[in-house]
Amino acid sequence: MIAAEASGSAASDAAGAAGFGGSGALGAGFHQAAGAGATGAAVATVRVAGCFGAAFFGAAFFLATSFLGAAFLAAVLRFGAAFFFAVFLAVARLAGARLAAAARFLADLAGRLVRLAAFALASGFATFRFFFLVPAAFRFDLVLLAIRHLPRARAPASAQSKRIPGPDKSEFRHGLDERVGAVSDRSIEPLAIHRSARNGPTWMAGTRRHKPAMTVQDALAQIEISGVSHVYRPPHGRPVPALTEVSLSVARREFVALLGPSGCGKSTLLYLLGGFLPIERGAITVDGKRVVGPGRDRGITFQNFALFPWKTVRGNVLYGLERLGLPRAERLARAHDLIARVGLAGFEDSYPAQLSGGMKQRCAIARMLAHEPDILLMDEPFGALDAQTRSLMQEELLALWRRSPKTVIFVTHDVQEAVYLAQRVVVMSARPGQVKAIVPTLFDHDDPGLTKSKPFVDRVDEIWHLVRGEALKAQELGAR
Amino acid sequence: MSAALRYLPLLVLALAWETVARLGLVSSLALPALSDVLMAFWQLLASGELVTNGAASLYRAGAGLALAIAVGGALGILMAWWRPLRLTLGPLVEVFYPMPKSALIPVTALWLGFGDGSKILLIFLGCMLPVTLGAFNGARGVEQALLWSARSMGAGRWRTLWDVVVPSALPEILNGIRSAIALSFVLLVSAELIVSREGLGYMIGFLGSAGTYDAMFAVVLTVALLGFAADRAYQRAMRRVLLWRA
Repeated sequence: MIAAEASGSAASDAAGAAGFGGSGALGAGFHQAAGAGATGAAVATVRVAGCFGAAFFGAAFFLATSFLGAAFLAAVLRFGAAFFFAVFLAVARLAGARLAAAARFLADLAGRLVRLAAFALASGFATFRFFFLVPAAFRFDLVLLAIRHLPRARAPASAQSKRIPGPDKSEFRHGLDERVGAVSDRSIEPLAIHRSARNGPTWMAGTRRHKPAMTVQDALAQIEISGVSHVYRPPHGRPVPALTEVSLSVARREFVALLGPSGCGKSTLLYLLGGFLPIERGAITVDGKRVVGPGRDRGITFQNFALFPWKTVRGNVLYGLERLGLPRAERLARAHDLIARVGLAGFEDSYPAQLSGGMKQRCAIARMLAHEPDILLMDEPFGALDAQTRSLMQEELLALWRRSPKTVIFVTHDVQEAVYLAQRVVVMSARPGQVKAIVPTLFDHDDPGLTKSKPFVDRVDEIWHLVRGEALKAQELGAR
Repeated sequence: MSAALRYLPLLVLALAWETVARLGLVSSLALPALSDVLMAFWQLLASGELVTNGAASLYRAGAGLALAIAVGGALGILMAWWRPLRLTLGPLVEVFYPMPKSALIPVTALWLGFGDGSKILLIFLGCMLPVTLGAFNGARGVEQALLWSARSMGAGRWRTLWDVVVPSALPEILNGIRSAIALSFVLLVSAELIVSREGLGYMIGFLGSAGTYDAMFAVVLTVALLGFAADRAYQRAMRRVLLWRA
């Protein structure tokens, strides 16, 4: 009898250890997943995995013991371990010094415990067959609790950018720390905790449900990039750090250029902002909402235009309007208007393959503007154009922007283009990509001799020197 | 005029055939004269045999192809889109793609008998994989920027599949279908030669064993002509669909 019990509890210990190992790995995978923003999918995965895990370990456990008393004892032991975990969570929560969050956590925990107790009682009365599920269920409940209540965002790095005072006034506030919530879009979830480094440790600073208070300053900052790092993992070969701890805020209706040598991660940053790549570390918020995927509020153009080749100019421009579900007449009217505005009237029925590079990019810009995004992401849009077309397109883009200002993030490696178009130029350093400097470049575009004026040329020179050093470094890195 | 010039070599071949046969350079058993073959063709056509058998054959080829295109295309695109499906079906496709499908003729006859079913199944199985592979490669090669553009304009994942992946893959799918059409004729005739009671392949076998070689040649020519016509028509349709490629 004693021998049987001993061997039984030894087996149960092994099962218990395996159980904890399993849940530990699960928890880790989970945090990663949560960091990538796929919370819904992760929760679903864990629920399924939880059922399987509970069934598997429970069955192994029950078979191993096959003795009700030992099974009960082991269950209590494992309950104890899990209880410690719960206490740890509660303490961590409380240490966050946010009473409301802690209270919410405790309420959630209590609810789960009550549900669990009910289940335990029911399964206990039903011949104890399913009692083994109770500790496992409790542990998976705890994992869910941890996901729901532990803060997820990392602290943003201290700003690495050095700022150069500009000759011109800049009415835009840079480096704003808080953000504002307004736009509702399915692809953006409410902001998780995020505070700047000087406000104290971030990871305990709040909950996903926390809505920051809006201030006058906040109303200007629309995009907030904080402590974003990204590692590019080629299918074969070693991972390359593409971005390291990039922080940046962009005001509403500001025109910002991201400038840097090739391989400095400026396009990567744009894709992260677009929600096309998972944000693994750090956070990006738009209008106070965390970016977790592509959304209509952020339009994009690419260097290679990325028009749908099987659609005509009209078809391309209509696509976004169709997704909006507008009535047909209104769609056509808006498309017609936009096509005229970018100077493609008469080419509505041409296919992209029949257009020149400049015309393709005009079409891409019209397509991007069609569904009226707040933010325009432009990835070297004029990089594939010849010099004349390029300067024409720059002027036209500027005219479009001045007519209806939107927030623009413009990626380029052309210094003059950046200085000419943008209000601020963000100079990025080569591998790993970091913000090296933020240079205000607000010039009077009504001056016809602007690009030859002294302040303009000086500013171009200044930025060019910054970029040149980075380009050389990038070359050396490439050669190594 | 240019079209006529293009097929001039064919005309030369026909003339050479006629002369060689008429001059008695080869036995009329081995190669009946072209004029005799055309006469036999006319007789077969007039008697209605060619039409009924041809219709049976075309029905089988058409049904098999339609199934192959629908299933194969969907399968290829879904394999490219969804990793688990790729991992499960990828090895199967790899193994069965190089296999000569005519080896399946007895198998399909065993399963579905001598009628239409076995031919349709055979043509479906044989023609599906080229379409699947075309769809798979096309869908894998879809440009990332196009997908992202569609997503940023508010298209969901499934919407993107239909609006971006399928049109992107279309040229390759259509190429796959073209080789499937050629393959369908091969499979059709060989299946009908071996296990069938009607169809063009059956006629070739039957007339050959009966010793009426001019009629047999007439049917062979019919099959060749049908295949050629199908390919030309298909290419023309394909060009129209892919007008946007300029």
